[in-house]
Amino acid sequence: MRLPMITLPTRPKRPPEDSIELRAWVLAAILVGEVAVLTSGYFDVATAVLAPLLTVAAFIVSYYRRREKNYLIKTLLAFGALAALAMFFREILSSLYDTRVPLARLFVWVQVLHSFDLPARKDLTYSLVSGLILISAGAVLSTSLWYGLFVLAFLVCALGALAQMNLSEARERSGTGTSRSRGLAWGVVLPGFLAVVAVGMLFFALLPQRQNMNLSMMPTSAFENLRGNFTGGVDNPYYKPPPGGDPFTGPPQAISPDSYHGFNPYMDLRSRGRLSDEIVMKVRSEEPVPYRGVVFDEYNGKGWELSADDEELETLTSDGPRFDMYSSRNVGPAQGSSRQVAQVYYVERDASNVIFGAYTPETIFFPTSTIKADEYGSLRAPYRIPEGSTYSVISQVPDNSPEQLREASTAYPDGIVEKYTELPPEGLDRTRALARKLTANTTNPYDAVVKMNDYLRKEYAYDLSIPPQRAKMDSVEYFLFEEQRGYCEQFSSSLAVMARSLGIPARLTTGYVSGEYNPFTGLYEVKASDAHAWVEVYFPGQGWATFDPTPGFDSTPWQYEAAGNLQGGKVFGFLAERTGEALAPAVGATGTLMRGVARLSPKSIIIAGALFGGISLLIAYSKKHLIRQKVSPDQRSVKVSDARIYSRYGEIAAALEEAGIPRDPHETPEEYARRYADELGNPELARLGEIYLYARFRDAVPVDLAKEFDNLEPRLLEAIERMKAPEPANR
Amino acid sequence: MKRFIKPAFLAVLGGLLYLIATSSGAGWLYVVAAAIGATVLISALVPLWNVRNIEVARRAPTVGTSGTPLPCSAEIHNTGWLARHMLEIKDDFAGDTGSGIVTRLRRGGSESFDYTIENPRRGIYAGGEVTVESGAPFGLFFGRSRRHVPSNVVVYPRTFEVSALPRPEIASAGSVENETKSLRRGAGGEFWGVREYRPGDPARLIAWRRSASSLSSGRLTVIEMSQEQDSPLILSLNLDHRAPRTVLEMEISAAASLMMRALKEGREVVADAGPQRIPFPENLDPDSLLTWCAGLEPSRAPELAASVEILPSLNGVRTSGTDTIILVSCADFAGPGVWMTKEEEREFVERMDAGGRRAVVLGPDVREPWSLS
Repeated sequence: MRLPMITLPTRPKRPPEDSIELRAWVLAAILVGEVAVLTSGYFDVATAVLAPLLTVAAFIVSYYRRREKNYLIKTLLAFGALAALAMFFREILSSLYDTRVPLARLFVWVQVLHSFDLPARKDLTYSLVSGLILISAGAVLSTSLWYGLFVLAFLVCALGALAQMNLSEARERSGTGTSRSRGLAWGVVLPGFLAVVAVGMLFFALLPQRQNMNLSMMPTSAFENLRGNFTGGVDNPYYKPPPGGDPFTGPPQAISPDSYHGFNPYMDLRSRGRLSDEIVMKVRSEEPVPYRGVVFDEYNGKGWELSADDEELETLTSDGPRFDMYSSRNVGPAQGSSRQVAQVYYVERDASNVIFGAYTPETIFFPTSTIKADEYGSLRAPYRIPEGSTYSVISQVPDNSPEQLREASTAYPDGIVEKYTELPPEGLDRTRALARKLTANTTNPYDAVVKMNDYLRKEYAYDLSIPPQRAKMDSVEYFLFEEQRGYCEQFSSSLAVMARSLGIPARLTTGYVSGEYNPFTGLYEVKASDAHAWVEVYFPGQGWATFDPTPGFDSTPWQYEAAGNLQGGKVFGFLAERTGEALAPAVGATGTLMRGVARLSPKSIIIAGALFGGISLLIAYSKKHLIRQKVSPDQRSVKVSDARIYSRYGEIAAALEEAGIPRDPHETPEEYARRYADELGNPELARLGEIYLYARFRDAVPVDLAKEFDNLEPRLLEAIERMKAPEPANR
Repeated sequence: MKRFIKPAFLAVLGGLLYLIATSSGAGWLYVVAAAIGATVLISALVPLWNVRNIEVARRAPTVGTSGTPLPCSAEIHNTGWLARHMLEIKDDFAGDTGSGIVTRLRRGGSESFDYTIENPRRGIYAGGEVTVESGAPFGLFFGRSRRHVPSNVVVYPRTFEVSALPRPEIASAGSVENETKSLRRGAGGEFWGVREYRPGDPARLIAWRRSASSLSSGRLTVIEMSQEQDSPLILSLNLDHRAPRTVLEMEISAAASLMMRALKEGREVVADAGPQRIPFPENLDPDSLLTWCAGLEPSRAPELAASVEILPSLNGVRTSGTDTIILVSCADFAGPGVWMTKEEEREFVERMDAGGRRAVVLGPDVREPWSLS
């Protein structure tokens, strides 16, 4: 039996790449890619430092050994690649629900290993592609606008590498050697980069951007097996428990600007403050839905409370991070039509233990083995959710049409009537009367709720600056008939109370509105000030439907605006607004203008930009044309000093002619000056001709030349006089 | 096709990242995909503009030799509004290509660079096509513009040292040593003939009596004298267009080498290169001879009639039928082929013989001491 012969290559297949510049561009691109991934917050410091350092070392090694066969290095690299693969599989098996980080780690180490063997240009090309994969992996991991800097830096380096590669190939084709390519960075890479950024922005704006997600593997933070008991009550780190346990006995609590007071087991309607504009979470969502947090069912005249005890919360357990709500006894069967909306939450600030999710959460991916759900479909984590956490929710959002709700029966289940139509026995007479008055002509609960909803939106002003409630009266009555302006909780409470007064089941819900969409990250940025309250009304057979009576807000499911596929079209408005905000302190007027522009549709911005650009070009062209005419030599105005020198030089020429040194027709002024200077015996006098030429053909004569002329002129005239004088008698 | 691999790969990669973005909802991936799209688009458009408004002038020697590097230089001038970058210039000139790179050519600026046509091919050239190509900025696509740039150059055939000229010997005739010499027009003492006076003829050669007899015609007649000289070197080249180009070049090189040697020895030289031959120069010197060789093109095989006509074109060589025509054949250099077969060569020789002139084939029929080194 003959064994197959194995032959090792005797020489490299491809010629080694000698250009250090090309290697530097590629290295820079790879380093940017690595740093972009390693600073995403998922990697330890050791990896973040070691990987880039090893890459630099690898590039140096591969440059110096580019002509060698490198059998040993290749063997070691093969073992290294196997080790990285083993590490990847081990990691991925422990975290099946989020493969992004293990994949990114694998890419980083493969890149580091590959960098040790880059002899030829083609290897560098593969490395560049690998860098592109790294920056793409970072793009999946990143939730920050700052990631744009990495993208831009990578673009500069990658374009530089491509340009340098093109030059190296051209040199190879033409047989010219490797030399430094001066001007490539400024002449090719920079203009190319700017052009790519400009065109890329346009592409990005026009690119259909679907927000689909892989629903079987939604991202979460690292899983923790927490099976310990916890109450499941709302736990907000920004609010201390009220003294005595009842928050409504004393004056209203101070409102923390960092967290909404509605993310508590109670909500006081008597005071409100402004919440900060700090981003509390970023949400990747298929639709701009409101993120529901806490549901209140008990109104006490001063605010809202949860009637259910913590013991009544249901504990959901799982071996992994996935929780399916259909198995929960707390969540009733889905009623009416609905549509699926998936969301991923990236927590940016330490928060309460409330797990947010669009109503109704169906599947939750949370990185613990236990969560709790109350009877309203609200969710609680076993701990205060820290900054940097990630969890996902797949919801079935009610999709009932107004017609369906209008046709719903009024045969409410007893449990619903008992729980959601209860009101304080006193203090709400005027409210009840108003509700009856507003709905006098309506024939069904839906129309009645819409009537009251519209009334509140039209007749009352949204105002966050109102003082705390002064009068000792029902908070809803105070808002409706005394203050007549206020905040979302007051609007929503009023609607809920009026609906209850008519026997329509209603409850108050708090959460966040969808937030501002960032077209670059594809995330909705939710600020603390985006906290909101709205109303859920029950319709038999259709379930709970959302109503939002606060002017300027709309959380009604059938009025959600579909995200659409051209989210990138918001990029110009987004950039203009952000730039406007950044510049506002310095140039307020410009900032205001830019914010105004940002409110225009992208189409209007493009048309306005084209008009502005066209007019600017026209002005620039006309100006250039006019200036060219103005400075034409024929029309150049003569400076006073020039004219003075002309006339004086004319007199000098006349004197020379009289003295017998006329200018020959073929002589240039300089030749003539040299000749008369020679004949007069003083070569310095030739300078007069040069100064005359300066005045005649160039710009205004400088002061020092004019002085020199003043100095030389009398000497020349003296010389002429001496020449004209009769010779001494003794000669 | 190979050049499309890189942009196609990049476009596919961009599409793939876009698809991943649609399923992962990662906004930055859309940005990366858009940047890739923009890079491909700009790479496709800029080269087209980059090669516009570029003027090229070539400086080249007027004479060169086949196979000997021809040093040239090109001056590139940018008449466009903006600077141009990464221009590759390819000059298809004198049968080969020279190339150079201009990394940056500023607006209104000029740049010169030297290059070499490494292997010029024999011929008479009035210019060549210059291709200005650019892959700027990123080398994914290439823009190209071609223009004819005039400059005259004559590339002589390559000639070799010839140790001796062929001595034609015909077996049947035995040694014909003395037949290599014959009487020709010259400065000898024997009468050759008369002809009409041409300006510059010495007055002592005017045949006064004969001129007087034809006085009415107003023409003078001069006497021509004769001189014994070596017999002329007469070549008939078979430049059959079906023969490989390299064979034809070898043939022409051999013929040129022989003729140059003959010219050096002071012998008359005449050659025929087939039915489409260009006229053989009358006033022969090395330059005119090599220029004639440079201009030779493949043609049909030599015809008997055409080759017979060589003799009258000798312009004054008195041969008395003893001069031998040497056939330089393709078969001798390339072996048997579709061109003139050995039988046709033999027929050619026999028919020449039948016409009263001797003909031999350069290879087998012409023995040493001729040789090419």
